[in-house]
Amino acid sequence: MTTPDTAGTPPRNWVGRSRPAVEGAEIVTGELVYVTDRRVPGMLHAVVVRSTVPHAEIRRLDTSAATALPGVVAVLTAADVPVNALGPREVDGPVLCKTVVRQVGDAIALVAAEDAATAAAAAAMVTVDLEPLPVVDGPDAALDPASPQLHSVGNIAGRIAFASGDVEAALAGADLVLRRTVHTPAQEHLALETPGGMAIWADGKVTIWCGSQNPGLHQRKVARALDIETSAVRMIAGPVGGAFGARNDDPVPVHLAVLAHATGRPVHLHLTREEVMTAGTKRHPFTTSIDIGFDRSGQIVASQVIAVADTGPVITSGPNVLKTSAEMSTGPYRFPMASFSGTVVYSNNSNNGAFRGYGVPQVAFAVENALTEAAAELGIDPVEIRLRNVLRGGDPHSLYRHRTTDSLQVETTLRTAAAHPLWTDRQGWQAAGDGLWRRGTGLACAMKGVGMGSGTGDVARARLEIDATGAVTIWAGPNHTGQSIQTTYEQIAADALGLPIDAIEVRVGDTDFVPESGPTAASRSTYAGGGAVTRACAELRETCARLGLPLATDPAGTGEKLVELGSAAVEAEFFLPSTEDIGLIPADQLATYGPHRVYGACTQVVRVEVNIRTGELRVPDLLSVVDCGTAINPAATIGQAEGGALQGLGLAVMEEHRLVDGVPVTTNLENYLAPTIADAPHMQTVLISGHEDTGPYGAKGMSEVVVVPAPPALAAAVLDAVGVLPDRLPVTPERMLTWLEEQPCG
Amino acid sequence: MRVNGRPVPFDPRDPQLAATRLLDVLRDRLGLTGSKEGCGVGECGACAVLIDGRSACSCLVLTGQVAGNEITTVEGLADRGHGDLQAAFVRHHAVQCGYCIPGVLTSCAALLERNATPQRDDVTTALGGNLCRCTGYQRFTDAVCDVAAARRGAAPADDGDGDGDGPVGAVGSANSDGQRAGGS
Amino acid sequence: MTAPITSMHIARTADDADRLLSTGTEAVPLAGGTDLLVQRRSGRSVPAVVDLSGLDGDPVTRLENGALRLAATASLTDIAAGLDGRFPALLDAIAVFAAETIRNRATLGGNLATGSPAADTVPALLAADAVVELRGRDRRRQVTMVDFLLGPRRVDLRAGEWIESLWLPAPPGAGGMRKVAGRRAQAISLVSLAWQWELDPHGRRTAVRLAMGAVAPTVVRLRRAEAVLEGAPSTPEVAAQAAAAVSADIRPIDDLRAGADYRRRCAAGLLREVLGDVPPSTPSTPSAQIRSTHR
Repeated sequence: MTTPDTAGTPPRNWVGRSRPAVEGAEIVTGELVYVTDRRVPGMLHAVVVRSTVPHAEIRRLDTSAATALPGVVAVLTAADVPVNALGPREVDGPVLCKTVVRQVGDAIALVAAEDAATAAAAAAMVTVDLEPLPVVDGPDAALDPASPQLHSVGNIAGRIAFASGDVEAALAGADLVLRRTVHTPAQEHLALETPGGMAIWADGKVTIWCGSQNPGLHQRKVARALDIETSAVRMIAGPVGGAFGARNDDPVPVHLAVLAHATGRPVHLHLTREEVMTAGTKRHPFTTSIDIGFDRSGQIVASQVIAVADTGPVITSGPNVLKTSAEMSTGPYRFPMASFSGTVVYSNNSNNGAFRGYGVPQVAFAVENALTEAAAELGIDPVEIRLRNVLRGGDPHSLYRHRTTDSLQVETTLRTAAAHPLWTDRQGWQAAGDGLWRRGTGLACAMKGVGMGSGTGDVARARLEIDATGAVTIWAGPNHTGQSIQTTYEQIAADALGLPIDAIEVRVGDTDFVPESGPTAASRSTYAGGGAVTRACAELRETCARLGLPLATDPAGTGEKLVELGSAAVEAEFFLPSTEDIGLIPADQLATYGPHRVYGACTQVVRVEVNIRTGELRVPDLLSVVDCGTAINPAATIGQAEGGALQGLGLAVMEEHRLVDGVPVTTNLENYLAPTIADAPHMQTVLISGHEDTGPYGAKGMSEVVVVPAPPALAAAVLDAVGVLPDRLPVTPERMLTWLEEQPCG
Repeated sequence: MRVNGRPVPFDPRDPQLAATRLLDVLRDRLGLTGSKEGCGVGECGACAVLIDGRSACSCLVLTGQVAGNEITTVEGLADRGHGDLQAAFVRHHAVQCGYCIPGVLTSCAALLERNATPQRDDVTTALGGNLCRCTGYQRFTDAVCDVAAARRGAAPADDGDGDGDGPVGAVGSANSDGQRAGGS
Repeated sequence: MTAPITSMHIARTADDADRLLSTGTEAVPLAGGTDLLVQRRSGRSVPAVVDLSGLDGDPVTRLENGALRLAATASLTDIAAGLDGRFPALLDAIAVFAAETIRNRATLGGNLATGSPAADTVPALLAADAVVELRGRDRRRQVTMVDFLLGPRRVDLRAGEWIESLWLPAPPGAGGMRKVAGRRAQAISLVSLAWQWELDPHGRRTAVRLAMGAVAPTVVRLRRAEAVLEGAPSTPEVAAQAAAAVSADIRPIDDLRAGADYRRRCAAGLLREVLGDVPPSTPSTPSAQIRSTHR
């Protein structure tokens, strides 16, 4: 990118080279102290008392026996929370339920005791009389006027609709119209570290060590609940064991803070896996219908997508997820005309929230399946039909008609995948299979926006300070939840400053030091956070150039001089650039739709073997071709692609959070299946060359888009293998065998 | 009972300790927080440790059951001669969030101790009980096979310092499957 | 929350175990712990345990007058090593049992005592007509597998008793076990099948024994399918007949993992697969065959 660099651009030593994670050595030796590993003398142990039913009125809450138990320090209920709200709106939900519980696992009381066993015993002694209410067990019930209304605003958490023309009229002229409905399940994030951590109240200030993808947001939530200034709240968001969206909407930092505030003692809380699987957020389950028309040559004529999502009892990310679904309801393709209509409802099911991919995998499954089916119906190669419709960089977006970035390379990912042996050898590979395990190869592609979207005020910041030895410390966000973003920021800074990488230290995830930078979300960390780091470095270089200080050749002398001059610290911002042309979107509704300027893309090829007697599936190989602009740290980027692809594949073949009448039944890792190493395919990843002009060194985000193609690619592979195109995820052996028996193939 | 080569400073047959999960004794009593609890039911393997050289979930072992055994946690792997394995995990970008890694490494160490020439399938078998949500597992296998080869003298030995502070090399070369293709 | 274990006793010898389990308390025998400690977390009260995992003495496997003895308190890893290629169905079962971290602790005794119809080692033991050797203070008895398995989570194990060993009167030299599950490690079977038979010089199967898991209140023998196969040639027709006969011996239910109807169909398909009744490879042509699952 262009930097105001009067001293010339230093050579690239680090950007584009694979660099191991800076915290790697501490991880492999077990030394790294995760937030839930933290222990201090005198700390209390906390337990959350939770609802056992999906919907009930709280008739009576009696904590006296629990409070009287020796060793118990506090039993807190809604009345003990200064401002009992997790957000500014009623639909954000309370910190602790007062009059009603709306899901199994809803938090009712917090217990703190001298030891864990006493806390557990006391929690069991809290008496909660719950008067069951009718259960809203999904969208059908939610939209039934006879059902209970879960909030004063009703059962609709959000709607979004947009049309670029009369789709039905356009479909009348199409040669092929497919009207299809697909179902995608709630998916568990399954970050290996369950939520928890520690909080300490001291000198009028609370410090919370707890995983968070948005430390600033959690800081504000805590300040609201305790009715204190945000400056009296310090969130330290790591180190933490994974996130994937789960640490966006997590109430645990607030619970910790309330406990520390009430007791004045250090408090430790660590949820069990069963607790987080019951009470924690999931990926929104969707029912997505698509009506899509093609002409004889495979050109898309128009489409109409209708999506219904279930967000559970409180709003969390529901409407925002649906916003992303709307934007991606036309996939990475050119549609002359399109419409989207989405509804997200409240229910008494598990709460659903942000999850890597953020509403895109659900609608992409509908769109890509339609492309796959149309190709088969029209006798066109699955790659060819996609190439005939592919959106190119600079094209107007198919729904909103806003201008997309020039760096978008869906086409190159498609062509690269199509030239790969996994695709070109698909017939030979299929023929080499046996009669029992039928083989097939499938392909799908996707794109996803980078950052929070136009008009949303998305900004990341970085603060940089050089000391008298020439050592540079950078406080930047978004923070680290497993992707070692610090390593990426260091690489960017080393090149931007022209300094040895060892002279640079990056710190993330601490609200006392890192300026507000928004969430680790929306594929924005490298792009926006890296952008802020680049600008902070450029400012320092500019200062040095102005003062004639030789930063690169004499960092110590330069640092000493800058410290002496009081110019050793700089802070910079990176504003997400809005799209240059907002297309059909009314200017005053830009944030409502939040269209992106920058998109990343990915095409995946999946090989599958289907046992036609048992319905079992095996996935031996997966190829990801990723359009991420410049890969700052290629091996780390490939690692994101591999992990993301496997998460998408898990959604495709085994993962499903299930409930019966609002009661979660997949509440531990025995009955919720996620891929083990034995289920993981051999993965190949190709990063195509590219450059996003608005990103740091040409980089753009990619960690979400790699989740998206795997399910429809898997479905296409199943079609190739056995002639059946799955319309419901996950493709379990049971579903597979049912479909096979409806169409026997041997 | 010895943990990481040292006798423990308590009696593991003490009635209360004996009935406590080994994981809790390691973390709370010995302060060895490297071993993690990810599920509590033996499914995720984040708590895996070596018991007399075999990998097992310490959430499903009561301390009294191993009162006479040698326990090795991730903190003791280097002293057991697996510093090269740890370094290889860093070098191969096999760590992301890292929460599964202590269990993954102990399972890999057990494999290498009984099999000097593991094939990729052997790594799959050894790690079937170690869930990872970040990496997709492939780097684990790469790292183990690399270390096994190095120990046999088939490849340059790693420096073993595990600091991972050096560049891995040219673009994409850290992963044999990481290729780059020309853009449009 | 999980209730604490308040009493734990460690048995060094079999006699110790007998004594510790006969004290009139509700002490439960504990070996590998990979099932008991999981049940405890899901609410089973286990106030007292007697640990059998460190018993001294008997070898893991031993041949006596042609019968093979397997120690019920040895880890499955040790059993597999001790079998050294004998009893292939049990070796297959151990290979697909949970994962190595679990196999290193789990035992045959524990897998039997839990009474799960989906227990992975049980079909092989049932097909092989294993005998369960039980003991307690001043008593010992031997029970056949068929008699030992009473129902879901119910086995013929009385208070104060524990499983010391499994006897295989005629250790099978051939056979196998195949498991269908939702994933390829750490999974509970949807359907499992263990088999053993001999082939006569004419290619006919004799001494056919089939046992299936997760399709009935206990692991069951497929006696009608066995009868179809006994002495019959290995033809697709015979395989289809045997598969059709499976349903008579199974009583699957719907549970969280799979429906009864699927289990029924999968059971028949799995037997056909095991009998080598595999259709010829005919690569599909999607454009001709496409059928969306949409309804």
